[in-house]
Amino acid sequence: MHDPRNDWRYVFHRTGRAIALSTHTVDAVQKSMGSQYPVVAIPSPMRARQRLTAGRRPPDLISTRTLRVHGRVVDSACMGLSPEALVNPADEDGTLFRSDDFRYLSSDPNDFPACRITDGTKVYAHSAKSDEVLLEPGEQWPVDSGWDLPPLATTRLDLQGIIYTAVLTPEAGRKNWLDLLTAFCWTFRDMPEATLVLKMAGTDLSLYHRQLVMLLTKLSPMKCRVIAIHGYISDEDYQSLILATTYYVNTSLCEGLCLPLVEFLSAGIPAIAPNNTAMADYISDSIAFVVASYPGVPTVWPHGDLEINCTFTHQLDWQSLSSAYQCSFAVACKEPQRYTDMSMRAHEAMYSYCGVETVKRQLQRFLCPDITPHTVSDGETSSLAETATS
Amino acid sequence: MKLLTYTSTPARDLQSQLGRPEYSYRFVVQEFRPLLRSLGDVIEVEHPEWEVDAIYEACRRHGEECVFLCFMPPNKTPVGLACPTIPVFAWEYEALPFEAFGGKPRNDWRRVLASVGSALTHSTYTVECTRAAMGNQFPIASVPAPLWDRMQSPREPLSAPAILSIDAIVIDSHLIDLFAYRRSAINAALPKVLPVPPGCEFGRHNIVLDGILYTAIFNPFDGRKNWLMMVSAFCEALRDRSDATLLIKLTHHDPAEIIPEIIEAIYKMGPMQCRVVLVHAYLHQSAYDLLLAATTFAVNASHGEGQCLPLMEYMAAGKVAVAPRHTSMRDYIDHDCAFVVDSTEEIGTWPHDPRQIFRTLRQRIHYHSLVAAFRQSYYVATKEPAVYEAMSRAAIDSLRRYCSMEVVRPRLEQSIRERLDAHAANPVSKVSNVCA
Repeated sequence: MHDPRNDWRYVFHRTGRAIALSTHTVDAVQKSMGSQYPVVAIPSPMRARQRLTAGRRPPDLISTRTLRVHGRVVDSACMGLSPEALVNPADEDGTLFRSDDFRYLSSDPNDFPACRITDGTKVYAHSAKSDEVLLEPGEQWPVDSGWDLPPLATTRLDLQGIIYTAVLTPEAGRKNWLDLLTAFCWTFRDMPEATLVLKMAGTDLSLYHRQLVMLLTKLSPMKCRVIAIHGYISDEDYQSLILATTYYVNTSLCEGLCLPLVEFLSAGIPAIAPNNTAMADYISDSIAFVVASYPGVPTVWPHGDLEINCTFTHQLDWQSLSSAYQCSFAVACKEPQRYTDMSMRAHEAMYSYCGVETVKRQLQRFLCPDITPHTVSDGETSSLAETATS
Repeated sequence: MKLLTYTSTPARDLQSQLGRPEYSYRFVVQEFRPLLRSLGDVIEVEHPEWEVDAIYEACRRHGEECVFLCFMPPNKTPVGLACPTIPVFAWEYEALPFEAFGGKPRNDWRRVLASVGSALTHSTYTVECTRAAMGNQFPIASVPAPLWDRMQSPREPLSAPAILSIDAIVIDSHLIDLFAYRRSAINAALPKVLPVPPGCEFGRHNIVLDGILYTAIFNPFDGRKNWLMMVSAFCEALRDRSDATLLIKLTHHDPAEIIPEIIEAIYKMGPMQCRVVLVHAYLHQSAYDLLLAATTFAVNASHGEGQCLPLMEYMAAGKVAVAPRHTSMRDYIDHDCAFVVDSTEEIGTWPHDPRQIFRTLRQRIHYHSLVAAFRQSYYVATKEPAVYEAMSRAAIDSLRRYCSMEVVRPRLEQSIRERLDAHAANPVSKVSNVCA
């Protein structure tokens, strides 16, 4: 049966007002409902956590930090990634071959200018495990599960260098994780000091794991490290991940808000992110390395079964993303004060943007502007504010 | 001087080989033929592995110079021949293939090029990429297909309305049921492919070519051509313009599998007044000339080009382009003769690499820029005829500087001369009795 609520204007008309999470969405609503329609942008409130990380120095490249996670962990450092395995050697590629080619066609690398890969051997600067380290009982190093989703296990990860983290649901195509991963691995192919941690959520984890392994194979050999954690992890493990992160990465084509990005910024982790859609409300180059993106790409609504383009999304600039990775790495290594400043500003900016007090005030102004606001000090609560934020 | 040429697609088989590997090299050979004939006797060989050296030996005995121009990519170029061999190849990526994948040394093009000693290509971009791989001293020159001169022959003035009457498969978005090609219908038919719409099958069709006509000619199975973005951006840009048409000539021996996908892309763009026409035909000269004459703009939205013969032809004939100016197009596209589309780098693969692994970069076309270029070009064509005329003259002049006989001939002559001189000073003996 046709549900009238599929036309959101019907719902907005019935409710009479709405709260959106971003200015971008407010504009979209008012485009449909008129500029006088009562709609306001109020972000999800972020409780300040991880004050320790705000304004901290970037990590050095040598010391090891340990991250323990109970989850399904993939680690490129322990995988036998082989691009040659992607083809059947019996298939004919049309290239001429003569058995004396090996003798007569020069293979001395010194004959040519240096190219991207000096030889075909895989070069992993990381080891997934340190021989001298004793594991805690019940924990293990990452295992190479190949194409299969790795088993759930308490996994120890020894991290070094600059850690980039992204938290996303890959089935949402707008998350654009292909660009995120390919630009990272291409930019840092010669840099063992760069690690990407992908925290992947969603329903079809096996499918995305296989896609990940295929992509890593096609991007290899590379000296950087890619770690993926598939599925749910505990709040404690998530906090450990935040603590271990140097930069948060977002490469979305559009966002309604992006809670993980806001969360990491609140903890004082500078970001690499575009400033489109909702992110325009809080991403700036004082707290992030802004990735260029361009509006106007037609697309379908993410829900429902309409097969015609009804709206627009952005197109990400991959080259700009690669530059952002490069710049961020250089800042972390060579401009520690700049990193520290960005970290502190990120924490402060999120506090102003979506701290509990800010959100309470905005809600009160929108929902009950006639009631005198009750000033809340530390330890005190007001029943009105409790109701508004619950 | 004897100039031996070879390419894998025989001329007689071209129509049936359209879209197959290296088919476009046949068009390149055809363009070079008159220029080569002015330099010496041209012999086209079909079996280079034994024909080339036999002719070379005969020439050597009676003191005639002989050179073998192999119009093939380096991995398919014979090496170890006694006759000086020059691969004439097109390449549109920033990294020359440098990996001996599949266990074959010749997949590392550097080894082949080092063995043959010199090469010819079609743009300064590819010259730079080759020198980056081989060293700055490597002898390579840019000799684009010298088609400019033949495009200057006076043409019949167009009598309105232009009607293209051809034996072809013709799909006109205004005349078909686009709904039948929505994604769910295509999926429901799997593994079968939806047929061509009724009335569009191969037969005599009359296409009215009026209004502002955008023409693109390419192999739709070639992912580099980026047709999905081209169709989408055209529809987005000129949705309300009933006199705007995008005509795509599908260069492939059998496009049946891809036609539903292109129609779906049109359907997905929703209601529109502009028109998209797909043509699958091997056009004879008069039909080809009529299409060219009726065209307002030549369109390209590729991720990379080795030279792009259709774009060069149309521009040499005075058609203004809607195109990016990356890779080889950098040599002839500028803001004077084209509505330039922005692009930046993205990760890419070597198209012939069966592993499809990421070894190079290609160009990501900026969608909003392509939409803007369509809109701006339409405005100029309808409201600023003097500007269009100036751009048209600039296109002719730009292509003259890029690919006229006058420009290409001395470079080709010099490259061949240098190669023959180097060979005379240091003749290479055959490395084996069996050549391939």
